[in-house]
Amino acid sequence: MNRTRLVVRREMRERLRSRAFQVATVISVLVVGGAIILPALNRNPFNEAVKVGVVGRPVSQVQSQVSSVKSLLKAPTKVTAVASQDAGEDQLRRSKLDVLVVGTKEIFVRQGDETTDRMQVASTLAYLPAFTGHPLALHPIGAPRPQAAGRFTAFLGVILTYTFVAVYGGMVLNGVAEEKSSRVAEVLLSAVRPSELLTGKVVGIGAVALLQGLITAASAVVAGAIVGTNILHGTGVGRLCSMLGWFLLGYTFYSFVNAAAGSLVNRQEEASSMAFPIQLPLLVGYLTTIGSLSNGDDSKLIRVLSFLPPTAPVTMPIRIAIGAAKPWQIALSLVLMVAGIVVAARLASRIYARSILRTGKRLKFRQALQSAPI
Amino acid sequence: MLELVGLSRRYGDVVALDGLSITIPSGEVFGLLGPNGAGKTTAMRTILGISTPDSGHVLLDGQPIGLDQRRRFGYLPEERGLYGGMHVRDQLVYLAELHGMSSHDAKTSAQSWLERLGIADRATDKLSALSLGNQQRVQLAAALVHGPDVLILDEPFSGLDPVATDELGRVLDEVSGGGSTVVFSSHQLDLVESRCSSVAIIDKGKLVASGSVLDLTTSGRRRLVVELASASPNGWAKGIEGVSVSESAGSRVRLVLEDGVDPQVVLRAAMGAGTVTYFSFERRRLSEVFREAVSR
Repeated sequence: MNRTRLVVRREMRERLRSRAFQVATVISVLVVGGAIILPALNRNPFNEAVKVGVVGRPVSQVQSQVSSVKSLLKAPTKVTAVASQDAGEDQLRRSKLDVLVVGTKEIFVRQGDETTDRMQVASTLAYLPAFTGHPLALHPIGAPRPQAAGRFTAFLGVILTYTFVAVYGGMVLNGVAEEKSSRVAEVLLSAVRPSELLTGKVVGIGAVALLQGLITAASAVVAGAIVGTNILHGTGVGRLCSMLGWFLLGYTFYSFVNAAAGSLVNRQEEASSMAFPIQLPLLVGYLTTIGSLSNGDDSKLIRVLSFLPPTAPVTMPIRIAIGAAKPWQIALSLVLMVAGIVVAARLASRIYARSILRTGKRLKFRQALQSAPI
Repeated sequence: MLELVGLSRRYGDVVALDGLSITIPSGEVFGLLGPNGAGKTTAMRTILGISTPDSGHVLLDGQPIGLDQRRRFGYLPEERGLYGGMHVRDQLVYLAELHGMSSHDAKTSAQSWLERLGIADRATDKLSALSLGNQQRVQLAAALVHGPDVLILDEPFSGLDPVATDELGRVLDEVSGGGSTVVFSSHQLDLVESRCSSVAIIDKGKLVASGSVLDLTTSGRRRLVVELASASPNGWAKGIEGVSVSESAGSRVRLVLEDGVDPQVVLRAAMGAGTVTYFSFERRRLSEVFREAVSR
């Protein structure tokens, strides 16, 4: 068998066999599955009442309609009179009200997805009169949130990408440091080239990461299907593939940087001190994205970060999801990402080959690059 | 035949190899000896292709060594190293496969070496769970598992107890008996002279002496060891023309006789000092070969 494949196989087998991998997989399935199932099981955990405001019509009329269908409604309903339509709409926007009934023609409801309790109350009140007269017009109100489902998926994807790149990149760092500090590298390098050992490690650990990522993604899809939640709506195979693609690009970039760092240290403990500075750009990109995601911004900072290879894997997928990235921007970002990986791989191979067998004083990145081969 | 031809290598200001040339006959147990820092490890790494020389080259049977031939080499590095968390057998099978063995042959060979070295019952344990002595055995098996044509061992005897030393000596004899070339290094010159048939002694990256152990130890000035009954005075040998004392322990002295010195003169002087209980010529030690070569 080809030597690189032997290295890949060892990496995969040892890691899949480890308790850490098994536990982490179970936890990620539980966390992701739970994040989807729990809110769906009980969307109103404190049994809060849906607040219905009425204007231009007696409160008792609406109250009796609600009472007639009470057994069908999931949440308790509280009906109050509102001074004017303007005041009601204002209260809707400030979340003081959930539903506003205006006369016998219109109903306003605070924006949300169609499974919320207030949506049920609003649509029930809108269509109930259809048996006797005309249904009321239903108007959603508040900030429009297009592609909410896609955003949720992208959000989940970025969290997973960040976590996986950090965790599995750390494994590459520690794995290389282990081979160097335990001197097993010397035995291995009498049979394989440094480039084969490096590639095998990056690919092997990457394959394990991909496997765990797929298991996690599958558990999200299955959980979504079980509870019939719509948060994964619009999450086609294409979007999942794109997420996995960005994750793989990010992992590959960071794993080469991690491998180079791992080959510089002498003791395994030194490796952990290098993990944080390496992952800092990823963390910055991640926090910036998560921050801007909550207010739906496509800020200038995010736009810049989405082109830089160290931050693109956690920023570009979000820009794509909120529809802010133009096709040429996605293409440019991909080209830069691939170029970044090529540069990282070449520098890492050079550093790795020169420092994996060198012990004594820890080398700096620059010294390792400039030094003669072993 | 393995030939090191004019190998030179510097690490910054440190000269590790300085035009080193050694010829190692096939099928022998060959000792590469020298004090710490003589360049033994660099020479071995160069043979294995782990280290690249600044100049010079290594030939196997007159040909440059390619990666495929190097995979037929086995290596036991001075700083022992395997995966602590990996199962013993998996580790050996992996290394055998990396050296080009089929999966089936690798498994068979790993099992037979585990049995040969008495650690077959630990095959499915993690390496780190084994005693240090057993870890050394696994390390040796790792160098041997693919049936190498050339076996390179860096300080294999250091840290071994006498039983383990004998066991390793027997394994090396067996391997070379099977036609493989065994090259090992040691800084303890006298401890290993019975373990190899030929040696090269190096110092500061240069060859200082080489040849068969028999030739090296039987040439040069004669060594005479004399022991007197206890409580005899020391210093009786001093002042005898052409005789120098190389070692003195209690009433036992090791003398170096220049050519033409009559041992009877020495015997008479000894008898004049006390009762002679031991009087015998001995072989020159490899450490003496080394000292005399570098002081020249």
